[in-house]
Amino acid sequence: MKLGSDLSMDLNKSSENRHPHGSPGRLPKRLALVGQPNVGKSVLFHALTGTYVTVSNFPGTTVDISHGEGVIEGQRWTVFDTPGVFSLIPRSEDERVARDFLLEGELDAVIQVADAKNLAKSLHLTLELAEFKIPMILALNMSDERRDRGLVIDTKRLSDLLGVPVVDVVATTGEGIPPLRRLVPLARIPTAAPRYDAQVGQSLSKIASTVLPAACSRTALAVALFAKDESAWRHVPAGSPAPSLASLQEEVRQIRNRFVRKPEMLIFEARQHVIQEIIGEVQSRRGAGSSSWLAHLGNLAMRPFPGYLLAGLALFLMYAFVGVFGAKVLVDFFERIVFGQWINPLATAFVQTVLPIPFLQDLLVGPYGTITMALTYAFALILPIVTTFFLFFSFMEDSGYLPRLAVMMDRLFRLIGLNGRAVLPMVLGLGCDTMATVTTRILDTKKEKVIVSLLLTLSVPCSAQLGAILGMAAGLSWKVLAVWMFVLASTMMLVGWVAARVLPGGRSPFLVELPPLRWPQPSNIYKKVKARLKWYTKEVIPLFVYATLVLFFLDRFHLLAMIEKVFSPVVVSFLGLPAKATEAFLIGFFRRDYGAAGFFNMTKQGLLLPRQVVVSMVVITLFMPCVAHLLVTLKERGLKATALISAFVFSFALGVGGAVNWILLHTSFL
Amino acid sequence: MSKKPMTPLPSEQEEVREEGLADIYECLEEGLTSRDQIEPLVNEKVRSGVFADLASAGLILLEGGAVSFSPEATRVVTSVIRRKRLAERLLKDILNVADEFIDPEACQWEHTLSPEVTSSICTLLGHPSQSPFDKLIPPGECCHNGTQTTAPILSSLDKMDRGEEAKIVYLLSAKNPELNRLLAMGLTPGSTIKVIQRFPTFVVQVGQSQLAFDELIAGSIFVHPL
Repeated sequence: MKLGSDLSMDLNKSSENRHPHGSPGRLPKRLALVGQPNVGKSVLFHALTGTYVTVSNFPGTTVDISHGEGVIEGQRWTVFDTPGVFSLIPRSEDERVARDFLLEGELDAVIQVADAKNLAKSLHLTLELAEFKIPMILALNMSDERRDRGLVIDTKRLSDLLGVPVVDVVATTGEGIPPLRRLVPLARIPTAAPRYDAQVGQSLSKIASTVLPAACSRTALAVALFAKDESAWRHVPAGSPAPSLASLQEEVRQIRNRFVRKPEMLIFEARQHVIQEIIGEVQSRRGAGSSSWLAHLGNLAMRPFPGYLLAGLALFLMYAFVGVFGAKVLVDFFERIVFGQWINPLATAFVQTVLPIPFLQDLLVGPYGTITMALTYAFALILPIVTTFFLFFSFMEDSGYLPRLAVMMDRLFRLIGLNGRAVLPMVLGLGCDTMATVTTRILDTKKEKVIVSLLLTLSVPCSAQLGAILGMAAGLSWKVLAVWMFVLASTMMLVGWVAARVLPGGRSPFLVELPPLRWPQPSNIYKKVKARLKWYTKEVIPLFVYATLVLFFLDRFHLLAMIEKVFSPVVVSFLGLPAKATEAFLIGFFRRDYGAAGFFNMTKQGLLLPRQVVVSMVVITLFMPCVAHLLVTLKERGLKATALISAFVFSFALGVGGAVNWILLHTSFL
Repeated sequence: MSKKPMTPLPSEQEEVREEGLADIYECLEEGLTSRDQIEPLVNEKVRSGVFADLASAGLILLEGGAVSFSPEATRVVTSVIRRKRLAERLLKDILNVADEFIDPEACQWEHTLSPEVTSSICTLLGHPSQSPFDKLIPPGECCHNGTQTTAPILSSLDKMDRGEEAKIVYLLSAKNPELNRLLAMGLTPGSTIKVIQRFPTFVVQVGQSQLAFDELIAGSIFVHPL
């Protein structure tokens, strides 16, 4: 669900027709989950609606607004999951998406999902939300971790002080969800408010009254304008008392200028005073709280020693689990036994008896048949690999290791114009480049977004492809994998380094919050892997079928041989591959993992020498990922950047492949 | 660095008493002893009632018209005088402030300098024993110890070592577009911050959160080491 379409639809509705505090029945009421990054909004969303959105232990996983339906206390609700916000004065695109939704989403209630062990931080957001004047509930999530740290919170007293229902929750285990559901109809507009000093208070009410006509969120808007949030101007309704927008802006600028200290700081202190009083009353400490071995491990994982060692260990475990177990053991089983001995012979026999037309028989079960090629590749070669990768990756995500990897990678990423935060899209790219390109929204500057998009397109192999590649290399000398990794890492650094110097703009400072290391919940991993595999089958398998159909018709009309001949100077002479490799490249245009599967198959049939394995691994990795990825890049980066990236990627992939071939031919390394 | 909490600013009443004691001290220094001689010389802003107040608080003793300090008053007044005269030296010698502006400034400082700042100034000036107006400066602990170096009172976080704790004093806002986010993440003035590591990036503990950031951000956070 994308924000754009959703909002435009809502804004057309006249707001008088809505019943803000609920006549029951008719319209489903609208409920949004709001909170700081990585506090568990998406897990709660799933608990309230049964709809799955990608959840992980990394700040910034949700970049769009998702929605789902749920029945809560006999009333139908549309529930919205919003991206995490540190503050409602937005600094990045995903924060702005959430703030805009609070202003324009016509919400009947908000659940603030908060980190129970960081009450001060959570309450800052509560006091910000209070100024939006939307009925709300405070859900103190991760109460188990709060208890482990010996912190006690008097929720009853907190509820009285804030004027909203407050409930303890452990979203991952479901503890506290039933009381939360019961409280949804009892949501209230908070009575607690920041204590602005006289001058600040006057300035805010002046901005609110002279600049903005009456609206329920006018205080929130006035605070945003006072704090120099330029994106808030978009929400200032037309027809304000003053003659023009420019004069309003000038007026606000003058009000800001009366203060020596930064207005942001003044607003912050006004909240801080209230919060310290509240915390003094409701929070106490019982015992010191034990520091677990997981906390120690979490800290060790960020020290140069043994941090880099642990990162290497994680890489090795991935190789063992995905490359050996997934791509060798499971693929062997599915390809040779399940498809080789059962499905394909049975399907062939069945089609040949039921369909007497040879053309249709070939279409389904011939050498380029939909069943014998597309479905066999998809289910026997790719699916086991993707499943093992998603299992591994989901475990890493939920454990909270990835932000620590961001710490370890920050200095390396600086060389390529990024900071450690870019680890999320890059590692997510190992799962799926398309998904990862959407996640570039968590990055702060346009330059960083373009560099990450480029590197994702060029040199980050997605799981399916990675699995096929690990599978290709698994039976051969370690040198094959080493050369591939070296070529990939050095091209990535080189391209990133050049891009960082050629593209205008700067690097933003590195700043990331580190969640505690956690032992992942098997049920959450199961749900996540299931959702991703569902997405995979829906998204990917049709593309496999289309690509196979193209190949089938090209073969039928003897065009395949022609194409192989036309490209033979490139494929055979320049890259040093057999002519049949052209087929793998052709289907690689649809999805490069399908192309990789083609090469994987050729390797298994013994059609490729080690040198040719390396060259094909390199070229297919550097290739454009897939049609879906192309569309997403087009949407996020625009036509010009996409065209430039694509043109560069194709010529670069072939160029590097040729160079690797030439070097390997003239040395005796392999 | 001392582990004492920062001295709170004196209340108005304390300031009046300090002012009165300081004036009496200077008269006693000149050899004047009787209340009749001293009272007219006390700053007119605090003159009315200050004698009665100090006497009833037991800070000054009035025996047969002669004025003397209680032990508590001696302790308070020597440090007030010390602060004032060190401030005078700093203003004159280092900051080149014109003579007529020195006294009003120093009179402010005598009430507000914290012990840490006072001994840093004293060390910085090389433990001077006389004010620019040739009055004696009461020696402090740092003079007896002969402290030769002074640690900065505040430092940016990137100067801190692993394992050290500090209190956040302020964040450089001009250099820091992330100000709002840093505050929202819990890096708030007054909170205690512990450096967990410095490399490959800074990792700190603030309250129950761990944050990682680069030295650019670390350099914009000013702290008071504990």
